[in-house]
Amino acid sequence: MHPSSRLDQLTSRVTRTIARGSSRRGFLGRLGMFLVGTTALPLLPVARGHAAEPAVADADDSDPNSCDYWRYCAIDGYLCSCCGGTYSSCPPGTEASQITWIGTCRNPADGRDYIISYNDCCGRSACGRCACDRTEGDRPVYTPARANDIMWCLGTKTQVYNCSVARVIGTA
Amino acid sequence: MKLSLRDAACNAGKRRRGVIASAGLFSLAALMLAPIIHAATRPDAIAAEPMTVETLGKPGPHWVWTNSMMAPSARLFDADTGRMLGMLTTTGTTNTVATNLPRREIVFPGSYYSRYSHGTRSDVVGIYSLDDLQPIAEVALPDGPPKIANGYPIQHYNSLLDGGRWLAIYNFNPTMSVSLVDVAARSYGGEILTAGCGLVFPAGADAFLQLCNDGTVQRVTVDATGREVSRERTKKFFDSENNPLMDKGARGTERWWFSTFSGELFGVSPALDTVGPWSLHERAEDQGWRPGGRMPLAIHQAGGRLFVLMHEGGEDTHKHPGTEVWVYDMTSRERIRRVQLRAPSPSIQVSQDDEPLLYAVNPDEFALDVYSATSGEHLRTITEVGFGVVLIEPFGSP
Repeated sequence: MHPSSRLDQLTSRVTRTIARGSSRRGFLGRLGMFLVGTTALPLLPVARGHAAEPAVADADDSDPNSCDYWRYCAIDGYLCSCCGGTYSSCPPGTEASQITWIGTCRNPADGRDYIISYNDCCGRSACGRCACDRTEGDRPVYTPARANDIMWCLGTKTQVYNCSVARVIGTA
Repeated sequence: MKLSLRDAACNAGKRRRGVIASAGLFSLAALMLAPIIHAATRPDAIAAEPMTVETLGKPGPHWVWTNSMMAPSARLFDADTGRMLGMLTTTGTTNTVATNLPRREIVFPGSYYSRYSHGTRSDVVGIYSLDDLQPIAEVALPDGPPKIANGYPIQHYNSLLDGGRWLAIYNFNPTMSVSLVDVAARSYGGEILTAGCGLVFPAGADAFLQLCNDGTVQRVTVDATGREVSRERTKKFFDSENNPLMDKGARGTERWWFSTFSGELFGVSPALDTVGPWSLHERAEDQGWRPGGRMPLAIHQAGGRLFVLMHEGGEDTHKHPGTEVWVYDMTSRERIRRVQLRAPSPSIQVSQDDEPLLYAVNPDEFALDVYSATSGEHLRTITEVGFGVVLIEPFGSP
């Protein structure tokens, strides 16, 4: 979730997450490797923040307003779909953080694993609706790439957290 | 000067309005003064009650802060009576409100925007009087990219080092570092990069420990200006990948204690001497129980008692609220009591006096449940302690 700073001021030292293949149980394998450095990797979620989202079919009984929804397997925050946005878009008036953490979740509709980018939406105070904390694979904050307690409003105009989205950015 | 009929009528109207206005003012004044005049002339007259502002007085052993995340604020209660004593308005980056008893001050970091949720941001350490909760000083943190660690509140995102001179603030933006503020001199000390290591656990007047993602604990020592003078690490002693130490600790008389996700305790002294593991599962029926929550460990130092928030659950349940508190003798390492909580709780703490109280956040009722820490008896429930309370901070806690 939370903190701080302007993207242009961070580019030389930003932490970036990339996805790895999934393991049987969640986050550890799903969250992937945490890299610190200056190299711009074309597949980073930072670089792909505005990339078109691939079309992924949901199962008929999927409910994006439910914490049990398959994309939310590694989320911690308020679901933007309950706050004026959707599972992949921020509510009006907010700003999407391009620095984020990554999970890999299995879609029950097709049995495939998808890389999920959990972006925070920032600039309004906490939405307070549909709180969702899935701790599978979560790790302490001293292992940041795997810690879902951290606020990721990094590189945005303000570091005020509103809600979180779960965007498919590829297949695992 | 000749007046026409029209002028005369107009002036008459002005005078009438003036008379009406004057009469109105008089009536209003009379209404306002009536109670006073009436009281002064009545035989059993009483004076109007004065309006005053309370001060805090001498801190009690069972004073405790409840720190609300959703509406950033900290409320102070006397747990002996359940009475609320006052509050502070905090911010999303505040985390812990540190009570500096020797200086009779409260200090905490905060981030403020010129337009509440946007605009120009300023980060400061606020210093408040423990006498009347008024702000008495602040130390500005340097301009530049914001960096105070933020997110779900964690107690040791910021800590007063022993002696109360240095406030150490953990930063993540996502560079990992610690900022030091001299709250005695009201000045900024500096920033120390701590890549791979997070949080701040006091380890003396000029040193702090950190948990590191390579399975070690790091100690950083600073000089009189807040600059780093040494840095050392333990050998790797825990598995940060498969069974890490929780990022929550409790301080005993000689060392900090941490639990793994599965319930093995390790202790680390300020000199980086490590002990453990000490398993919380001493009986067959203990299997299936794990520590969990947001503040799962507490220690009563003088009594040598360890309190652990426990729940029934498996892997990945390390933040689940506890249904019981297991109490251990820290010398024999034997469990001496299981306290059934009246409501599941994410956070516990214990006071440090001779008749200690055990506090447990009760989120479903927005309450704080108060138990005897020596018997486990439920004593009272303090209601409406704040929306989204995560952290409990007793006065005098280590």
